[in-house]
Amino acid sequence: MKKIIFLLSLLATTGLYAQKPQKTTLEVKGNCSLCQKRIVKATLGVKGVKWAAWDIPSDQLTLIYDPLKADLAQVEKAIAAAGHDTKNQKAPKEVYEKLPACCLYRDGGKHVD
Amino acid sequence: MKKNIWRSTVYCTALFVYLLSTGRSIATPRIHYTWCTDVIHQGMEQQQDTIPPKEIITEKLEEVTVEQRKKGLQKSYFEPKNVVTVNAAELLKAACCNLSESFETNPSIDVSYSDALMGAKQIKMLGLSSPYIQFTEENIPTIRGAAQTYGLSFIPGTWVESIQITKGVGSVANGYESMAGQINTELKKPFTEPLLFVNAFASQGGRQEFNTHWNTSLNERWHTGLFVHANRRIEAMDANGDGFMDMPMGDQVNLMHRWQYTDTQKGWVGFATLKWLKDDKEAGQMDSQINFMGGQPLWKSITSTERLEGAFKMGYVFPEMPYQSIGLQGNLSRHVQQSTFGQKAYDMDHISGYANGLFQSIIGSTQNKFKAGGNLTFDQYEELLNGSEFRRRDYSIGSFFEYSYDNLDNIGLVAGVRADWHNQWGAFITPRLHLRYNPWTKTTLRLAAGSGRRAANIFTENQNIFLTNRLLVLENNAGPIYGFDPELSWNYGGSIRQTASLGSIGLDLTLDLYRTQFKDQVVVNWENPQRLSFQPLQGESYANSALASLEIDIPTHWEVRLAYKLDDVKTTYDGNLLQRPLQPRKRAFAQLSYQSTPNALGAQWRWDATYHGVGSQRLVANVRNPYGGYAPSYHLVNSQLTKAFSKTLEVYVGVENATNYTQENPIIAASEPYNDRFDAAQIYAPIFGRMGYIGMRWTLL
Repeated sequence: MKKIIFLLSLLATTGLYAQKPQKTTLEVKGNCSLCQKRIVKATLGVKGVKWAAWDIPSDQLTLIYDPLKADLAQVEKAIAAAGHDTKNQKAPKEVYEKLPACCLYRDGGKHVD
Repeated sequence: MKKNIWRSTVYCTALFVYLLSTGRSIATPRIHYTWCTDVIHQGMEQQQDTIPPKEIITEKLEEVTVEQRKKGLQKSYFEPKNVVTVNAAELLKAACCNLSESFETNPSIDVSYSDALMGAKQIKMLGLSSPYIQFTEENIPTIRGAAQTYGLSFIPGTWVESIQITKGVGSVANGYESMAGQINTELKKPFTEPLLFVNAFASQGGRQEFNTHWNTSLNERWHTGLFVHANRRIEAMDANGDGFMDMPMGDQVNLMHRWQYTDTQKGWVGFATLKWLKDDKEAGQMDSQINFMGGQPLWKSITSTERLEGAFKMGYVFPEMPYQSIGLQGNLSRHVQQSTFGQKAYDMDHISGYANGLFQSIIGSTQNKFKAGGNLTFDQYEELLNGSEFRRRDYSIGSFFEYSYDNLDNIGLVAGVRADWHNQWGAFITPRLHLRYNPWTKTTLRLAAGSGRRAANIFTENQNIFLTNRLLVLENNAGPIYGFDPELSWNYGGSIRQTASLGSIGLDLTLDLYRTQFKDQVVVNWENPQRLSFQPLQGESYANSALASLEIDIPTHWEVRLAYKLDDVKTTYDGNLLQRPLQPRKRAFAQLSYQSTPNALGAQWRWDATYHGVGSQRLVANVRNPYGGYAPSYHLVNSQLTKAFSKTLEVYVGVENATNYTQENPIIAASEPYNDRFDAAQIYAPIFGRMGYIGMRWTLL
């Protein structure tokens, strides 16, 4: 019992002090909530990314990451590999073509549902 | 502009994480704050949420065009726990007036009278009555101990913002007491409420209610509200001619004062709430019966309750780490009930304290989250039953850890464990597990398992025992609580939910299957007509519950709900495994709702009709039926029509029990209330027949 409490408090303090995360914003192309899900999933798939949110109307991806473990080039690559263009990385055509219909941001411009 | 977006993100996330940190559902943040819901949708939420695009589109459209079309009962696709959120629109469908009646439009919860005299409604979930359900008010445990029987009637319906019903054991964060499920009530928050709200209600049953709420913002950060509720029933009525009032006369004054603090930049959220309640009830024989009593006094019951309660909550979200938060909450209450039932007297004084601290963060990324924390509970009970005193002090200390995993797609998991120490029964572990799996986008599969434990406060939870003259027997087994061990149960179950669309018609089919298995239980045994015994469970006791429900959404005006339920609730009484008395095995439910499209001013018609089919219930042996028997099945219909003249003024009329079904001769030996055979607790149907009512709501924005 005491051990459990000790372990819990240890975990809590580790959570509190061990992380010095950095917050940043990237532009990522997409349209709908399905893209949102894909973008966030791809971003969080990069080791060291802790938190991600993609805003539908503004195309802004906000992420919080550990700069010692992750770098932004990796993040952009991962997002592009999932079919979404970023400032520095373009998604391969064959991946883009397999995106869900509402995510085809390259044709017809932005259509937010 | 960008700064504002970030600020609102922090704030909304703060609010969201804070609300969620103790197990809250997602649907709760007010729809007025669309920016907030948007941020929540776009922010943390969609990482877990895999709403099919069509759903998003319709939901968005609904938000923009017809706000009222938001579904009254909301179920999540992504939450591993089986949670149904009852929102404000749904709460308006119930006729009246307090939390116990808020569930009458919901097939998951059964509402029935607990006896023929006191007018108290009891609720059941998965076939188990309210002591086996953990109630929380804004995630602080409530309606415990002394408040168990009447507590639901002490929360006015207009104060309630939303209700979250979790089937199965639920989160470990709120303690070890939930067995069949958890019901959380969110009260209205000063920050989101209009300046002034007035509600008045009157029914044919002589019931009158008045509610008013004032809410205001003092500055950007401080918001405050005053909530006043008063109700009374001034007419003594005896429609069935048994010489007893069909409903108690009485009055209640109920006050709540709230403070809310929100600091959008720094990530602080807080509440302080003070509540005071006074409730008086008079039930029993009509004064006119004195001529038939042969010199004996009239059988009357007077119950007087006073309750004072203070609660605070504080939440902090690290502004640079929106996934990390700290929550603190506490509650202190005193509940005093003094009552007489004929020649019996029962007094109860319950002082209760609760404190909870919680830390929430992530492991690596938001795919892996955890909550860790601890709580302290203190309860002092002083009871006086016909001159015998029962005193008890319970305290417990515990800590919990809950891990959540989400693959951001089709799998979610919540695994929690608690370790507690209780002064009456020592140390114990409470594990709980919830799984969610979406094999296809429109199918959600959930599984849950876990244990629950509680002290049975046998007298206050079973106040209908005072309405019979049976001999009361406590068959002790040297346990710590009235001679009994704590009740211990395991609950296992799951649900399948399938949504589909037929053209523009939305279909939502849910199948719930749960089993609660008792290892230890205090059994209330009514099987012997002369006795009423509290016994430790010897043998098997379980509640199996199956519910199939179908919701049909027909754009743009109609909604249909159909449900069918089987409750197989059996307990071993004197060596025989029997269906629990007064528990219907089968129930059917149907509801039809209509809403017209509101015009520019907000003028609108709303109508609904609810049908309850209640199956046969086992009756215990008594003088009338020496070998027991079964009550007939019956049907109930309620309906309500609301006319909104504008966004600020609404008038509603309705009828309860439209088919006028009542139980014949509900009280056994009603003409001889001091005879051993007298029993007013064998109630399987309404006492009160058809009842019309009218009410109004006025809001100053």
